[in-house]
Amino acid sequence: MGKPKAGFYSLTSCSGDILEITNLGEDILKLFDLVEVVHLNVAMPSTGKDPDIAFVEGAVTSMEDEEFLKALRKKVKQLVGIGTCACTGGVIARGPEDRRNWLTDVYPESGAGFDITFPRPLKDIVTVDFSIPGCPIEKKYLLHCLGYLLKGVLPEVPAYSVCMECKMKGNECLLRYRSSACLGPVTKAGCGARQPSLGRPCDGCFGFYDDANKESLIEIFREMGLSEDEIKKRFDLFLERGL
Amino acid sequence: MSEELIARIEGHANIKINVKGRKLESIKLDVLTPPRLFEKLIVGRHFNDVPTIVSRICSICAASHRVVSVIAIESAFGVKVREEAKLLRELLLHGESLQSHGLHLFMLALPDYYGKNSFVELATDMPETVSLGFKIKGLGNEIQQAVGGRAIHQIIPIVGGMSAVPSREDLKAIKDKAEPLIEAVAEFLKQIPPMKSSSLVQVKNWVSLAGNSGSDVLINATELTGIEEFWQRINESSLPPSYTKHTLLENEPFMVGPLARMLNLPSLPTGRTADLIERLGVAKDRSVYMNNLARGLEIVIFLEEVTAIINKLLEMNIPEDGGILVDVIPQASKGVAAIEAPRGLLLHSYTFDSNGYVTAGDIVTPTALNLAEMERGLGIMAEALLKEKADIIPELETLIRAYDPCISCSVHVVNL
Ligand code: SF4
Ligand code: SF4
Repeated sequence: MGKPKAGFYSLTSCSGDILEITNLGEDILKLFDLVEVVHLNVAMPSTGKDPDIAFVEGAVTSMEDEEFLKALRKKVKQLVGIGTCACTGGVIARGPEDRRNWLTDVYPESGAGFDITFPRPLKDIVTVDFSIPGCPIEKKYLLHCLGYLLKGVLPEVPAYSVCMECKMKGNECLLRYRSSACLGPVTKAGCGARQPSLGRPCDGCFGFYDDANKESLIEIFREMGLSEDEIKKRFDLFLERGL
Repeated sequence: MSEELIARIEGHANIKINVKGRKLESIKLDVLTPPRLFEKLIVGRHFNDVPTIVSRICSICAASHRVVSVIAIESAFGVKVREEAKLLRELLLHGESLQSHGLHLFMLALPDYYGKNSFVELATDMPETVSLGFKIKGLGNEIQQAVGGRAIHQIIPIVGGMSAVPSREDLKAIKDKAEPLIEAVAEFLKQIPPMKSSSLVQVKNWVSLAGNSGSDVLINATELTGIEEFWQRINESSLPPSYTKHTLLENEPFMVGPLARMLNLPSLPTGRTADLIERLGVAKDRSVYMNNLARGLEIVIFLEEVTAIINKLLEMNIPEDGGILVDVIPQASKGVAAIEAPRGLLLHSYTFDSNGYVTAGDIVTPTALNLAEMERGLGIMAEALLKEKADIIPELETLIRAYDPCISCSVHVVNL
């Protein structure tokens, strides 16, 4: 049996997750040893071969994205979403569903002719076997997941919130001691509490954690003096459909 | 008629050429990454969320987007940040340029000089070269990680200053890695072979920030103009299916980026840089391919500046616990800022209400500024080559890569 064939594809995005893969540095050459890379646009021309496993970043924002994704799904054994845009729609999936006014405001001459839809995560269009969140993905988390996926097994991931990682790091809680509107309590772990460790509240880029107690965090935000609108906007940065 | 998805650039774009017999009918560069409408996404948002949102325009120059956005907001609210914070931001931006230039020059452009399809092929024949590229890119990321909090979508720069400070150990480790690379890169640049048909496409107009001012731009090394005035003088248009706008300055395409910055250098620098400029011919030759070498030259310059900034920071002895912040009081106002991102001039402008919520935003990215110039260059190249042969796509792709478009960021808005 030959090496598994892997392809890395971009839908609508900032290309950050694919860039993070090139950021593996010389380890990327090891990746090329482990799998046959059939597509990685930023680094090489496509080989034209179909992959066994496809990694897809970005949100679906056009019919073209949608058709591409459906066709890709038919060709591959496993389809893995990488990055928050692929998992939840990301930072661009905010605002009104109908964007026609936005388009014609921004592109007066041509906007009406653009074929775009509200940004949707991959799972709204096709079956996704596994999702690796993060804006962008965390290299360690990616390598951990790749290790499992290439053996055909679903990765083990933490089933707790960012708060847990934050406490394990011994950070002083920003929510509690600095009245900073941190989303750590409702956000999936996996980033090692990146932001709170740097004095910044978590923005929720890993998405909601399964047992997230949103109500209790909203109550805390209210007690901190945030208005209902501020609370709504706080949840509406990365978290899927906000509140 | 031929159509290709261009590899080894950021994002998705097609070159569309119409040819009749051996004559060029039309040529178009279509950006296919759909618009994400960032200027609309930030309307109604609190100023603190704006840098986090707009940095997602582009992963390669996320630090530039974050920093210029923070500076535009600070200028709207009249915030004066501390000197140490300014130095750290400058260091962060050099880190970003090192990662971006390292990626572009070594992984995307160099294969063209050695007749290879990709850096993976290049790595088999020239492992030390590819490894040098990885070292530069890696150091750039290490700087962004230490100073910005992450290699992509940085966290630490915020309105009012920096929310955390890198440790002295991290700064020293960066300096220790930067110093030996300066000579290694300078030597390597002298060995890059010349590119075929390199004199064909010459830059006619070029624009960059004037010095470190951040408030004026310099056009064709002679004409100085204020940022806001420049903004009013450019005009844009877009046609489907391309999702981006073409920018002209008084009906003329122009170039931004490393070569434009080199051609706008106020006077020839001295020492190693002068020697390199002379050897590489960057100042004499306005060939678009020189954009690649100008990028290499900037790697040397930025590495030198990184060590100088770190020396200053180490002398300043900044306490490592906590950030470097001043108070921020929002007010109804407008703030405009410009910065030199790795690919060239980047402009952000926001209007706020008295509570610090955005009422309008406008962002113009380097790739958008360059698109009309890219089409001009492609046209000249295609016309000349068609006289000799039918398959001209590889050469056109090579030219595109010299311009170094970053398609993820080309989607933007102006003139709201
Ligand atoms: S700082 Fe945020 S992530 Fe850390 S413990 Fe507090 S609420 Fe949780
Ligand atoms: S702290 Fe929150 S926003 Fe930051 S990387 Fe982690 S999950 Fe994402």
